[in-house]
Amino acid sequence: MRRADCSALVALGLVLPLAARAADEGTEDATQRAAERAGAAATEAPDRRLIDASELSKQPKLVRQAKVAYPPQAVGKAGDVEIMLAVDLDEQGSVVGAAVISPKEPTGLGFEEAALTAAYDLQFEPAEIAGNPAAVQINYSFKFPAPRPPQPPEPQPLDGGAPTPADAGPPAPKPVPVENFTGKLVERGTRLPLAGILVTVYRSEADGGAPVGFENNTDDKGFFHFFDLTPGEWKVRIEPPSYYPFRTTEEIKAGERIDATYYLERGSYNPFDVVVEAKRERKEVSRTVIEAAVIEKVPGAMGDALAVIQNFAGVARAEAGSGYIMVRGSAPYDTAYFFDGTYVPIVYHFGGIRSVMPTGMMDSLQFYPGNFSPYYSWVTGGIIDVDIKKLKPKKIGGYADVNLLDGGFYLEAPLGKKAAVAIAARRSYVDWIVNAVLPDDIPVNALTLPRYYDFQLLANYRPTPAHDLRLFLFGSDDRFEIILKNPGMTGTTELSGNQIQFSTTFYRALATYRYVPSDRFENTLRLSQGRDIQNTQVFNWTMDYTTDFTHLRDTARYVADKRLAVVGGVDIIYARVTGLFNIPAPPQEGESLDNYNLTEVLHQELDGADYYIPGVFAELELKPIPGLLLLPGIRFDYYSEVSQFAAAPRFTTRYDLSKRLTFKGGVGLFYQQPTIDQADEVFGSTKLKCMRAIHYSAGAEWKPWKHITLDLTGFYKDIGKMVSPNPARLVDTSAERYDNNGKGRAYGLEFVAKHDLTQKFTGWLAYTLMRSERKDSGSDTWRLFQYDQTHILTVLGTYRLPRNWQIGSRFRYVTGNPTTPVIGAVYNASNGRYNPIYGPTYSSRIPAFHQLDIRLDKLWVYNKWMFNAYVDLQNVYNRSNPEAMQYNYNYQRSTVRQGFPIYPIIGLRGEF
Amino acid sequence: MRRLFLVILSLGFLGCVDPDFNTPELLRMPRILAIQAEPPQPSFGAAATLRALIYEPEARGDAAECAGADAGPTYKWSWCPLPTSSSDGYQCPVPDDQTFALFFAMLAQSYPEMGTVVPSLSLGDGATATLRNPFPARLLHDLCTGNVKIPAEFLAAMGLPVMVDAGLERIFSCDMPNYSDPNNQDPLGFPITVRLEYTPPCGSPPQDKFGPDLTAVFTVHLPTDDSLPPNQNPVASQIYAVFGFDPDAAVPLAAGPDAGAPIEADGGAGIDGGSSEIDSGDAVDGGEPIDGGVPIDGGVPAEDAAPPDVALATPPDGSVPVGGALFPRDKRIGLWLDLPLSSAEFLVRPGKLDEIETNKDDPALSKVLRFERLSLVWFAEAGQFGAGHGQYGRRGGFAPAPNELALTEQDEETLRVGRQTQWALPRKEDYDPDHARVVVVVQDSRGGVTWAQGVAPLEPSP
Repeated sequence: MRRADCSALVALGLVLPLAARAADEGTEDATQRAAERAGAAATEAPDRRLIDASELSKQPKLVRQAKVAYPPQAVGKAGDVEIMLAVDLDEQGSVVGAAVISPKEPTGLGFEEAALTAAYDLQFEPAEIAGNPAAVQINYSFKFPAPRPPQPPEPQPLDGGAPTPADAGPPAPKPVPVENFTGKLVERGTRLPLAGILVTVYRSEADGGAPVGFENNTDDKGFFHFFDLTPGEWKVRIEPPSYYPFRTTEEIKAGERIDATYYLERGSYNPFDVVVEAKRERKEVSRTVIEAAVIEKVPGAMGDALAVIQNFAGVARAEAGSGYIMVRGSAPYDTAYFFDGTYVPIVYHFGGIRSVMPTGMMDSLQFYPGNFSPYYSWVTGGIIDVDIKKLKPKKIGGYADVNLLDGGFYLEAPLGKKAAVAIAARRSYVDWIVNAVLPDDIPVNALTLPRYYDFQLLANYRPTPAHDLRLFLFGSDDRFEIILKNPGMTGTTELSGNQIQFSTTFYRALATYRYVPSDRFENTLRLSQGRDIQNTQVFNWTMDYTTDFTHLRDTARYVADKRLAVVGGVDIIYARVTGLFNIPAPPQEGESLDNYNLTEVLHQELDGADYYIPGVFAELELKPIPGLLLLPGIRFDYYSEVSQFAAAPRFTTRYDLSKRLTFKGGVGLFYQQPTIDQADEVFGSTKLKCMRAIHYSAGAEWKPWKHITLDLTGFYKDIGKMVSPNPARLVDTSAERYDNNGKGRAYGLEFVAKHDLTQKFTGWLAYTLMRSERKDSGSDTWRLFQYDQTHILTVLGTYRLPRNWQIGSRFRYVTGNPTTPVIGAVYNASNGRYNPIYGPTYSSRIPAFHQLDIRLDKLWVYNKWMFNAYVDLQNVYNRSNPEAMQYNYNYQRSTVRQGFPIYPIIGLRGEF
Repeated sequence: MRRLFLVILSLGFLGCVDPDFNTPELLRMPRILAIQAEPPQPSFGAAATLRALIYEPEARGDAAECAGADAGPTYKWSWCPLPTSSSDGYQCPVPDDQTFALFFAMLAQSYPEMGTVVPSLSLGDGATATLRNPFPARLLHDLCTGNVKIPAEFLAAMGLPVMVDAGLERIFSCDMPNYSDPNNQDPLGFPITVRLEYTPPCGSPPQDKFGPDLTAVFTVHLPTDDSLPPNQNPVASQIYAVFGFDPDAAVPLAAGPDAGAPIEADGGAGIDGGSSEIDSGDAVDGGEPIDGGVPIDGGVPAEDAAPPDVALATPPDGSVPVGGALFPRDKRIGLWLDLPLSSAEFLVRPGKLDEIETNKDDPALSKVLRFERLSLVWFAEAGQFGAGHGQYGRRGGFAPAPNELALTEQDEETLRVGRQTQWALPRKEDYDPDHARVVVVVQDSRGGVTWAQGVAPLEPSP
């Protein structure tokens, strides 16, 4: 009986132990399942931070092999068998756990048992991170070659001579082996070389000779080599786990060498297959992390990251086209956006359908609906932080993407072993399409239809594992313009002019330096600089301004011991605004333009107005007892706009009662300065201070089954010193326009049932029961908030079908937004407008919203590239969804303005 | 501030959803279309006649049900000397005549020319009303500039905030001249609110909501400076129809209006123009221009520099002749208002041009010339307008020097486009009556108002 070979180290696996695959998988093609398993193994672990294996300062090295034997009971019942294990290594490199990854068959013959037993005899030099030993998980395979007939003769020399008998005279010089069959294994579609893959060539008796076979493992670059194969047909067999089996036949001819390239198709084209994941410790009461791979396939989101946020618990549904994100009863402007921790004020192109950051540039998206750490500040609502892609390309690659709205490309390339670069750009072409179909006699002199583009350039340089330098340049431009022939088309005597123009341009440069000298300390320095340019002309209203932004953030983390870590940093933002404003005062929440005097145009010029918010923060990570995490923290900010210091203490805690059940809670104070118009001397009041909110939240997470997580969180938000229209202004036109006497409160429950991303399925159910109220300045009664939505339900799922098909669906049900009823109207003959007389503010609602979206994806894999097509069918049953109340000119007739009917979004992507 | 424009965008979307839902240009129900004060800015002691343009459909209900003295219509006119707010339906904060009398008497102590006769806030229940300006311009100027101190008890009695230490300019939303701001186009004055509550006659089609009564308000700007010539109402004489209308055709300037087909003048059948004495249903014959150039300091009147008023309606070549005066159904025709250019008055104000960089060093040119902006709103009982609104303003209402009065090509084009519109005539199945009334209301940007109306006979069959 032959001794089985130990294969090479196949791949680094997971830090978290991977549980063995469920034994009750379906009965479909086992080969395909095997091919898909490895991908699934990595994708099913939720909430792990992905770490490139190259980030390990030292990879585990096998120092002691283990021997396994072909189980006697399997002889004659099975052929060659390879068992892939997930092996947990501790900080000493010893095996502390093992589980079978693949295959599950043949079962009951003792292969798994033999492999698992032998695994504990393996010994490695430990992996290291920043020079310190670290526990990791690797994939390790044991091969059980089937007992074969007696050893075949040695490969024949190519001179055709027969083997020289040992006794046939004096020993001849040993012939130099001649390589006559070489090749390269490449992953189909991605063109990545496949290293460590076993390639077998053999001939059986049916081929006209004695059975014979040889094996060779591919090297780091995917090459394999065979020597001295005798002429004739040789069968090639390659069956690596997680790939479809590959078999072919090669004709070996005397005096010739075959150079072959074989493309192996992966069972699952999932980016998680190729990364090492490290657990990202959960510290927040509520945080949702969603990876780019999931984002791209969420139905209804058209592959756009920020559109996915609308599916999270606690997020109210925004009116179609608004692009708003409203979190836990807060206003849209109460939520801040960050790219890699750096503040960005604009995240959406026109209409809120597409964000300014393509998913290709992202690793993941983090969403905090409240109780966020002192690392973040400036807002009282939620936080959205986009993790920019950590470049690790092994080849030049990228994609080109087109859909009904825009087209774009992404390219990435390695620059040696320590650097990489990526570039992307995207442009809409709605303007071209609409221009082509518009009639020539439309009453406009000039027209620039909605058009946007964005661009990104990302460079990464990592001279040593301890130093990581990144530079990210990105920007966006949106433009829309109409010049009417007839100025009277304004429709009101209060407006004059014939031009409507919107343009928004911004760009940023973000430099990041991350220094990790040891596993106890790390420091990240970020500096960004950029400019926002906003030009707006609506008839005789003008708003042109430029804002220069500088954002400096430095964050350090020191781990004192297993029970204590300290995080601290500085966070400074500076803005300089220059602009011209000739507009009415913007309406505030609860106000309507219907009763505005549109001729009351205010004038303001800003010539380099400076605003800055320097801040410092600190947070302790305490683990006094196993399972308990305490996070007290505090942040200090100075808001120059309102000349106010703000100290914001925060505290969150998590307690793991068991591996399946965690309790969590938090309380914290949050400040937010008035918007630039609210605090302006012309448009608002210079006496305003920051609004503040106290967040309370508590809940539990329960993992009843392997892939299922249930999360129930209650929250209460107490908002004080809200900027509110000053009631004295109604009779005193020079009274302060706003004061800080408004109040707000929001409370509710969020329930999330999530199925982790596994081999075939991911999805979640998010339900929010919420009420958000406001009390305006001078009022004694609470009223509903503009975007209060009692019930918000999202059910979403994506299922992977065989042959790279994928289907997903999303259903949403949302209570209708509050609306203020009109109880009368008076005709103002001076301006030709009817002015409504309103009933109690937001005392009624529009009908509820519900919609079903379905998305179908298909991936075609070719040797050197892949092609993906999808159709995202929105509003499948063509529901006439209400968006807002709509009145006719004299308010005597009303209806609800409806959202989009059923419509498909078709997209194509070529990836290489 | 993006909020404002997001709101505007969303409002813009509203009009795009259902074209039949919001048709302000269609006359179907009883409706107040305009209110006019003649003169629009009565000086101290002078009276202005208030009248309303009210649309009443010809169709009536059962006449027997309406037999009686209260068949209507009824009018209720009032005015308010203090600012009113749209948020509460423009209710006057002054509770009653007695309170106003106390206020009036208090003011009269410092301004004895006001006399002792306190006008009532009610202006009667006639089809027209008379508003007499009880406030001398210097009082209004002082009110607007905060030079009048009013005891706190008066403020409280009138529903105003007690601001002992503050001037009343904080209360009165005076539209004072502000020549330094290019966006503040016209000097207006002290705003008072005129209110009309109208009950349609018995048998009128009911309103969809809010009951049968109609309410409209109108702002009259009383002069705050006697040296400023008051505004005058624009003049609109006749609506012409142009068959074979091409809005982009180059229309000769010199052609006369008789080339078009005049819409039959309507003496107010169905449209209540108020007093018969000044019923604008009688078109101003020949479009006699009112002297609109009102130089404050001897500036050049418009007539001296601008080309004479011209009619712009000539059927272009290839226009379709229509038998008699009948209007073809389901066709597009042009409507053109004989609106003298001089209706857009201008003002010249010297010595306020520090902000005008181009002329600040030349006193002769240091004058701000401001043209009024004219707005036209078209109404009809049927059909559809290409543009329900028109607008005309020379050079955006502003020119830096008084010697630049000649019409530019842009002015001509703006005027041509501004006072014409397309009218898509209704199909028989959509509108059965054999005629349709057309109304156009013209406003200038200082509160002047006029209107013209007519009846278009329609083809009996498609």
